[in-house]
Amino acid sequence: MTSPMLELTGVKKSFGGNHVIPGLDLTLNAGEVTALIGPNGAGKTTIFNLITGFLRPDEGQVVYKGENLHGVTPEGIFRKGLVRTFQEVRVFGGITVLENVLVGREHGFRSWRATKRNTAAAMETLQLVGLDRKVHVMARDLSYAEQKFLSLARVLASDAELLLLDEPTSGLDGRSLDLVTALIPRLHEMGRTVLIIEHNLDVVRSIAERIVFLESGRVIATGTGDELFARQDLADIYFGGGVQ
Amino acid sequence: MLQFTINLLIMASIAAIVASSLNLLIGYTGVFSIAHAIFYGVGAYATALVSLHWGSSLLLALVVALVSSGVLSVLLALPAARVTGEYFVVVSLAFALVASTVFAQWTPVTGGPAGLVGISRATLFGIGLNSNESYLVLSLALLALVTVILYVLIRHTPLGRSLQALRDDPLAAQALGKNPFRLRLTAVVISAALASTGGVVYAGYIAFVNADGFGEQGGVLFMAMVILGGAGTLSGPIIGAFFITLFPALLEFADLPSQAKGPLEQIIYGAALVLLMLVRPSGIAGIFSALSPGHWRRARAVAGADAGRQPVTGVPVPGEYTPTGGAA
Amino acid sequence: MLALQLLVNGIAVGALYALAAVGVALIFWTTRVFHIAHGATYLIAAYTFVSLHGNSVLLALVGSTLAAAVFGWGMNKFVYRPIQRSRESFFTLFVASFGTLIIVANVISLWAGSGPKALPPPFGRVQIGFLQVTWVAIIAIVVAVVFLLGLQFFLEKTETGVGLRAMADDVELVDLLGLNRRRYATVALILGSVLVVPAAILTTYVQGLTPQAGLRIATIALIVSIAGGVGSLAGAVVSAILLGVVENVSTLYVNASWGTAVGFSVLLAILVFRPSGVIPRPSAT
Ligand SMILES: Nc1ncnc2c1ncn2[C@@H]1O[C@H](COP(=O)(O)OP(=O)(O)O)[C@@H](O)[C@H]1O
Ligand SMILES: [Mg+2]
Repeated sequence: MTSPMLELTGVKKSFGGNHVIPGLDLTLNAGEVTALIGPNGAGKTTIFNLITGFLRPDEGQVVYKGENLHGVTPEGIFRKGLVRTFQEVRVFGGITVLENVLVGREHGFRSWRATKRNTAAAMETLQLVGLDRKVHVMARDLSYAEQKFLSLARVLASDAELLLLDEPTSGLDGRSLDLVTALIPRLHEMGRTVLIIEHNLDVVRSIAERIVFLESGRVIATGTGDELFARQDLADIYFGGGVQ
Repeated sequence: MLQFTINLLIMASIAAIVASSLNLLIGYTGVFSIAHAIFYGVGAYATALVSLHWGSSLLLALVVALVSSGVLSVLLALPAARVTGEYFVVVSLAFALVASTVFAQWTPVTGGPAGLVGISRATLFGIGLNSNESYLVLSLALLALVTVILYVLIRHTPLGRSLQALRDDPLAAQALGKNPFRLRLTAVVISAALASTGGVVYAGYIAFVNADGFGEQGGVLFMAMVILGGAGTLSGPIIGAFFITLFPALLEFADLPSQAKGPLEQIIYGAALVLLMLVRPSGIAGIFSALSPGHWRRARAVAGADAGRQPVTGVPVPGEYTPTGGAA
Repeated sequence: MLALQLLVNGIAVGALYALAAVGVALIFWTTRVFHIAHGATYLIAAYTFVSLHGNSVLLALVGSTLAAAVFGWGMNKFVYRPIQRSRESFFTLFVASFGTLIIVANVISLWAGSGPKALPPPFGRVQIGFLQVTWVAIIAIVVAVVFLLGLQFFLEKTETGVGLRAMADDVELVDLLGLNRRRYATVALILGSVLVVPAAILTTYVQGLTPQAGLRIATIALIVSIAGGVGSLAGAVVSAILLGVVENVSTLYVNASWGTAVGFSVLLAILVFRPSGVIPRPSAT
C-alpha cells in the first residue's frame, strides 16, 4: 500500500472546558469512500473543521499527502486538493447556479481566459446533479433540495481529490435522496477520495467501503458495514442516545 | 435655467460615478465603507495639482488620480486583513476622519483650509473642454464608462463572481479557495480608483478644490445614495445619486431662509434612510423590482447578502475567528 | 513639564471619551447594533443642558438625563426592534442608526443654529505642584472613575448586570437560559444613553458644542470600543484614554488640528497589528 492520503494523529480540540475531541487518530486511503458516523454532538463536524483549517487543533497534527497542514488557511488547504461541504446549506444566494459552480473552479488570473472550458466542466457537473435546467436561476431561488445538490456540484466541479461531505443527504428524501446516494459511487469511479458524514445508515451501508464510528470525539470502531452493523453495542450507542 | 439644469446634471453624474464605484464594495463585496468621499477628494486634489503644475491634460489627470487613490486605498484595506464585516465600517469612518484632516491641514500640498484655486478646464486630445456642455458630455461619458466597467467586472469575470461569493458567504467562499483579504483588497483598490475619476471631473468643472464635501459628511451622502437607490444593482446607485443631487434643487424653489435649506435637505435624507430601512431595505431599485420581478431580478442581491451574513449554527467562528476576524 | 500638563488634560478628555464608549459597547453587546446614533444622544443631552442651565443647573442635569434616556429607549422601541423583528441585518440597523443621527443633528442646527455654543467655565484652575489643572478636568476624571466603577459594580453584582454580560458572550445562550433579550436591550440602551450625559456636559464645558460634535463623538466611541477589544469594557476605557492622551500630547509636535487624526491613526494601527484589541476578552472557560 502507498502512504495514506490523509492522516490525523493525536488531534485534540476543546472549546473552553469542553473536550470535544480528546484525542483522535484517523487515516484515509486514496480512492476510498469512508463514512464518519456517530451520534449528534460526537464531534464529526468539528473534525471537518479541524481538517479544513477552519479550526486549529490544540494538539496533534493533520497530514495530507505527507504535508503537515498546521497553520495553513482554509483557502490554502483547498488549493492543496481538499474541499468540503457544510452541514447547513451555504450557497451563494445572489449569483446564479452556474456562477456558484464556477467560483470553485476559477482561481488566479489564468482562469480569466478559461471561462469557456470552466463553463463546460460546470455544466457537466450540473447535469450530474440534475440542475442543468436551472443554470441561470439565482441560487437563493432554488428549493432546499436543489441547494443541497448545488453545494455538492460546487465541490465536485472543483478539481479537489479529497472531498469531505458533511451530511449531504440531511433533509432529503425520495428521489433527491436516491440521486445523492447514486452520486457517491460515481465519485469513487472518478478516483476521488471521499469522507462523508452521514446519518442515514442505509445510505452508509450502500456507499461506504469503510466506516469510522465516532463517539464523544473518539473513534470507537472501524470496519466495513457488515462488521459494524452486526454489533449490538454500537447500535445501542447510536440509537440509545436519543438525541436524534 | 438651462445652465442651472446642466450644472445639476453634471453634479448628479459625478455623484453617480462615485456611488457606483462604492457599490462595488457595499453591494457586491459586502464591504461597508463610509470612506469613499476621500477617494473622490483624492481625484479632485490630484487633478488640481496636475493642472497647476503639469497642465490641463485630462488623461494625465486621470492616470494620476487613479494611481494615487488606488495606492492610498491600500491603507484603508490593510485593516480589512483582520477587521472584517461590520467592524470595517468603523475603520472606514476613522480612516475618513484622518484623511479629511490631511486634506484640510496639509497646507503645502492641499492648500490647507483655503484649498487650491485656478484649476483649468481639461483638454482631451488637444481639444479644450471649456464649455459647461462639454463637461456634461464628459461626465456622462465617464459615468457610462464606469458603469460598463463595473458591469463587465461583476457579470463576466471570475473576480466578480468571487467577490459576490465572498459577499454571500465568506466561509463557503474560503472553503472553495478564496482568500478573503486579497479579494477585499482588490475590490477596495478598484473601487477607490474608479471613485477618484469623479473627482477629476469635479475639480476641472468647479475650478476650485478644498476639503469641504470630501470628509465623513460626504462619505455618508455617498453611502446614502447607494443604499437609497439599491445596493447590489447597477442602476441603484445611479438612481440614488440623481435623486439625492436633484432633490435639493426643488428646495431652491421653495421659499425658505437660505440657512435652513442645508439642514432641511439633510433631515429629508436622514428620514428617507430610516424609513427605507424600516420598510424596504433593498432601496429604490428594490421597489421597482417588486413591481417587475423579471427585469430587476438582480435587485435582490443585497437582501441575499444580508441573509448570508447571518450566523448559522455549526459555523466554527468562535475561537479561531475572533469577532474582529483575526486568528486567535 | 508641558508634556505632563498635556498628559493630564489628555487623561481628562480620554476619561470623557471612555464614558461615551462604554455606552456604545454595552449597547452593542445586547443589540448587535453599531449605535452611531449615540452621537444623537450626546447632542440631545448637551443641547438640553445648554438651554436649561441658565435656569438651574440641577434642572439642566435632570432634563438632559431624562432626554437622553427617553431618546435611547425610543431608539430601541421605534427603530431597532421593528427592524430586528422583520430582518435582522447589520447593514439595515446601522444605516437606520446613521439616518437618525443625521436627522437629530440637523433638527438641532435648525433649532439652535449650526454655530458653536459654549458654557462659561464654572470654576478656575488649581495649582498642583507645578501643574495647572482646570477644575473641569479634575471633575471629568473623578466623574468618569465614579461612573465606570459604578458600572463595573452593576455588571458584576446585580442580576441584570450579570445578564447583560451573559449577552455579550453569547446571545443564543441568553435565549436558552430564558433571559429576556428584549428587556436587556432596553436596559442597555437606557443605561448606555445615560452614561453619555456626563460626557456631553463636561465636554461642552471643555470644548464647546456644535451639531457636528455628534458624529465625531460617536465615531470616537465606536472606534475606541472596537480597538479596545470587543466585549472588553476595560479595553474600551484604556483605548479611550490612549486616544485622549495621544490627541493632547501630539500637540507638542504637530498643530493641534492634527490631534484627533494622530490619535485615530494610532488606534487604526492597533487594529491592524492587534486585531483582538488592546485588552482581548478572555475566552469563556
Ligand atoms: N465553535 C464551537 N465552539 C464551542 N463549541 C463547539 C464549537 N463547535 C462545536 N462545538 C461543540 O462540539 C460538540 C460537537 O459538535 P459537532 O462537531 O458539530 O458534532 P456533530 O457534527 O458530530 O453532530 C458539540 O457539543 C458542540 O456544541
Ligand atoms: Mg455535524
